[in-house]
Amino acid sequence: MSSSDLQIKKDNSILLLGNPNVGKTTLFNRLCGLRSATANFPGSTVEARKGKSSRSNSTLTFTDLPGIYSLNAKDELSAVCRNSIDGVDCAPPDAVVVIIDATNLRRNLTIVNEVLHHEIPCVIALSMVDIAQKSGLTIDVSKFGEKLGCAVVGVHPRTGAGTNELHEALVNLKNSKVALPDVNDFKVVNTWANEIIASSVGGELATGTFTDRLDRTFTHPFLGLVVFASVMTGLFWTIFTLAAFPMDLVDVIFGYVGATVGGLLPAGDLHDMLVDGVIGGVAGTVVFLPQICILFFLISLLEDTGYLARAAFVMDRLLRKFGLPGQSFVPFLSAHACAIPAIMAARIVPDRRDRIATILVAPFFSCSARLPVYVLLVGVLFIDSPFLAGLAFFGCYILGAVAALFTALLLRKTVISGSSRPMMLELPTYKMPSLRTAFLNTFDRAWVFMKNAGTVILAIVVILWWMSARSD
Amino acid sequence: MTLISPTIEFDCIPLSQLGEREQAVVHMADLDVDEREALASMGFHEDATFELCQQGQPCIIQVEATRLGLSSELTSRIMVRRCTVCS
Repeated sequence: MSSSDLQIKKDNSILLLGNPNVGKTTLFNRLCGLRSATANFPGSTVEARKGKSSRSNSTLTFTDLPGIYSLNAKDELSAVCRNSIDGVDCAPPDAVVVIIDATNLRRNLTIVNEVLHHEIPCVIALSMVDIAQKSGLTIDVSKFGEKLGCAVVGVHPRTGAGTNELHEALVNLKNSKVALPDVNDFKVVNTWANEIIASSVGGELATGTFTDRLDRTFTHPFLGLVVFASVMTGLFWTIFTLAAFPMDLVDVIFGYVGATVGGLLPAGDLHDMLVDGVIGGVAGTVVFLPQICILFFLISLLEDTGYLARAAFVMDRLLRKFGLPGQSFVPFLSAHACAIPAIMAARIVPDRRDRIATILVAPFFSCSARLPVYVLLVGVLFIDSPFLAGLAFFGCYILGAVAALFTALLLRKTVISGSSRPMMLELPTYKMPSLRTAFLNTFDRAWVFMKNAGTVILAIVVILWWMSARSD
Repeated sequence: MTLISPTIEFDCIPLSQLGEREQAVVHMADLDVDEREALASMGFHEDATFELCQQGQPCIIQVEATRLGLSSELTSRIMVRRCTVCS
C-alpha cells in the first residue's frame, strides 16, 4: 500500500455524491447554507446546486450531485455524476465526498468502490452514525478508512457535527492506493464489502417494527387512500389559509408602489408602461410566491418524513391505469403551485417515456395563477349560491386533473406508446423532518421560480400590455 | 453484520408467492437488463438474502438495512428460493 498526500488545488472544487436518502443535501445545506446557487449540469436538464463553505481560512466550493445508486447505470442522473467526476464538459473536481449511510454500509460501499476506481481524491462522510449506534452497531472509523485508503469522517448533517472535521480532511487530503474489486462483479464487490465490514464494524443491526406498522397503514389499499386524501386536504387547506395574508399584502404593496410611481410620472406611454406593464407584471408574478413557497415547504417536510415514497405507491394504483408511474405524483403535486417546477421535478421519473408524458400533462393541473380566474368565473356565474360556487371551484380543479390523466392515456397509447418500467422504489426510514432543510429548499425553489418564471412572465406581460395599448 | 450461508430449498417460486416474514434468496430474475441493474444497485441482486415484510401492492422487502417497495407486476417475475437459515 503506497501512501500519498494530495494537496487540494486552488479551485477547491468538491463534489458531494451518494445514494438517495443518506443526508447528502442536508449536509450540503449545512456546509453552504444560503451561499448557494442553482444551475444546470452541462448538456443536461439536471439541476446542480453549488455553494461555498469557509472554515479556518479556507474556502471550498461544493457541488451537490443528484442521489444515485450506481455511477455505472444508464440513466441521466448517473451520467451527470460520471461526467462531473471525469470532468467531461466541465472542469474536473479536486475531490469527491462520498456520503454513506452507516446503517447500510454494504450497499453504500458499492458506490464508494466505483468512485475509488476513478482515481480521484476522496473523503468518506459517514452519516447516520447515531442511528447505527442506537441500532447496535459500532464502527471503527480509522480502520474503516484504512481499508478504503481515504479519510473517513463521521458527520451529523442535521446538527452540523463533524462538518469542521470534514472540511479539515478535504484541505489535508490523504489517499492511499488499495486493491479494489471489479465494479461489474457484484459477488466480488459484496465479498470485498463484507471483509471491510467484518474488520471494522461490530454488532448486529436491529430493525424495528415501527416502520412495518406505519407501512401497513400508509400503503393499505383503503387506509392508504384515506391517509393520502387526509394529507393532501391538509396540505392544500394549509396553503390557502396561510397564503391569503401575504398575498393580500403583496397586492397592497404593489398597489401602493403603482400609485406612487403613477403619481410621479405624467400621463402617457411611459406612465402606462411602468405602472400597468412593469409594476403590474411584477405584482402578477410575486403574488403567487406565498402559495408556491408554502407548497414547496410542505413538500420538503413530507419528503423528509419518508411519506412521499409511500404516497407514490398509493398513487401508482391509480396512475398506472393512465399509463403513468406513481412517481409522477410528485411533479403533479408541484404543478399545483406552478408548471415550471413540476416539469423540473419530473426528473425523478426513471423511464424516459413516462417522464415525457409527465412533463406534457403537468401543465393541465390547476396552478396558482389560474385561481383568480376560477374565483372570477364562479363569482360571476354563481353569484347567489355560495355552495354551487364552491362546487364549481372544486370542479375546475378536478377538470384539470381529469384532462391531465386522459391526455396522458392518449399520449401513452399513441405517440409515446410502449411498456414502462414497473415501480421499484426505496422506502426510506421514517424520521422527523428538518425545518432548516425545508426552509433552504423553499428558498432555493422560490429563487429559481422568480429567476426563470419571473423574467419570462414579466416580459410577456409587458408585451401583452404593449399590444393591448396599441390596439386601442 | 456477517452473512451466514443460508440453507436453501431448491424449488424456486415467484416472489409474489412468498409468505410474509419469510426469508429468501434471489435466484434468477426474469427481468430486463435495466430492471435487473436498477434492483441490483439498490442491493437486491442475484444471491442476495432478503425478508418479505409485506405482500401485495406494493410488495415490501427488506435487504439488510434497505427497504424496497416493488410493484406486483415485478414480483410475479422475480424468482426466489426460500431459505430455512438466513441471517
